[in-house]
Amino acid sequence: MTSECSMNRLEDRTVDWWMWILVIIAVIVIAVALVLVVQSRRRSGGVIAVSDIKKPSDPGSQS
Amino acid sequence: MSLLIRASALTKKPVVTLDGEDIAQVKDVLYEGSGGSVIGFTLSGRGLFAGPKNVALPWSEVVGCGRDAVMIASDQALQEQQDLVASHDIGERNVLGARLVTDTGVDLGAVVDVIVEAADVADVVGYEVEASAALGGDARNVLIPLPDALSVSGEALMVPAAALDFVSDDLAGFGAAVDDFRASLRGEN
Amino acid sequence: MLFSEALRRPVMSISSATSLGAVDGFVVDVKRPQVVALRLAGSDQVIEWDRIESFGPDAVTVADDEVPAEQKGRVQALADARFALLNKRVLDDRGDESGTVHDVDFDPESGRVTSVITSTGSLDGDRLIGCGPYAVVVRAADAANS
Repeated sequence: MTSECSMNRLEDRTVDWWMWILVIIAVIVIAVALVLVVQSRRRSGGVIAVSDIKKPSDPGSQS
Repeated sequence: MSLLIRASALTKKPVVTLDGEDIAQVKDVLYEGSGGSVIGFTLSGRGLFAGPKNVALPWSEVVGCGRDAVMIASDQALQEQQDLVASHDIGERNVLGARLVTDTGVDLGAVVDVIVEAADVADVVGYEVEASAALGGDARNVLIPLPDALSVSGEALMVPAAALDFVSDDLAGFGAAVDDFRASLRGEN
Repeated sequence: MLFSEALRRPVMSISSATSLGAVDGFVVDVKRPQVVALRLAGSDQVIEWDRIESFGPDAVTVADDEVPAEQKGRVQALADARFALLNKRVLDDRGDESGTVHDVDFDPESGRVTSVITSTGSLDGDRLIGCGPYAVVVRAADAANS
């Protein structure tokens, strides 16, 4: 019992308020990095063999 | 005048209007599976946070396709992607990574790149494969010329076995190799 | 005259004999191709080309020092920093890059852009096609001959 209480108090003292700011900043950095990686993957492409081509038949295009 | 380009060199290239604005970059190179003619490009946005775009660029609207950019007259050149190609065709038929097999049933290796001959009309004229045992087996990539008519499916690409007589190691001599190969095919017919 | 030579030249008003400021930049309409206005140091205002009386060796003179309240629309649009020529990459209509713009040569009488000096050489002002945020677009060398 007594030992548990003292451990809880120890934790309370070590987790200072500014730690949460660091945690939030870290989360934001990870989120931004994730978005950058995902978007760079979505931008990259390949070479695609198309089987059925759509002829440009819409009246809006002039060619 | 024509120019041989690796398709991988086209992807990520900026699409620039004659007014000097980079409105997109190349995502996928689309070509007709049976004839090999390049249909156009799907596009992505520019910038680190940009993703794919819904518009595509037909090859007929390309003014210039060079080392550093794809030039178009204006953003009027772009059209809705669905108008150019059916959406189910994209994402499933990437030939990069597909196996290249001869009509005699020899697996030549995985396609790592596609060679495009760019002129007024652009054509796919060759595949670059990671050399397998059938091609000597050393670690070099080799370029394999293609006939006028192609055969492509989701899993494999077919080439005539005769193409193996016209392989080359680099783009410099490849244009002549393609011409020789196609001439020899016409001679046989 | 080169842009680099004309920079920092004072702009003087003939009627009041005061200096309006020093030349800090140039607004170019590449479609004509023509210098359409001068930018003044430390000011958002530009001096439109048709207000200039003379482009002298020591000073640029304008008839009066009153600044027009409303700039002309096209000049105002071109004055945006995104359309500046200097240090921008040069791209030809085939899609090949050839360096960046180092300097521009213009006729001090008419304001016409005669040539563009790039990091790889110089090219005729008539070859200019467009200028945007990404690049200055010029006609490819071979196409200009034919």
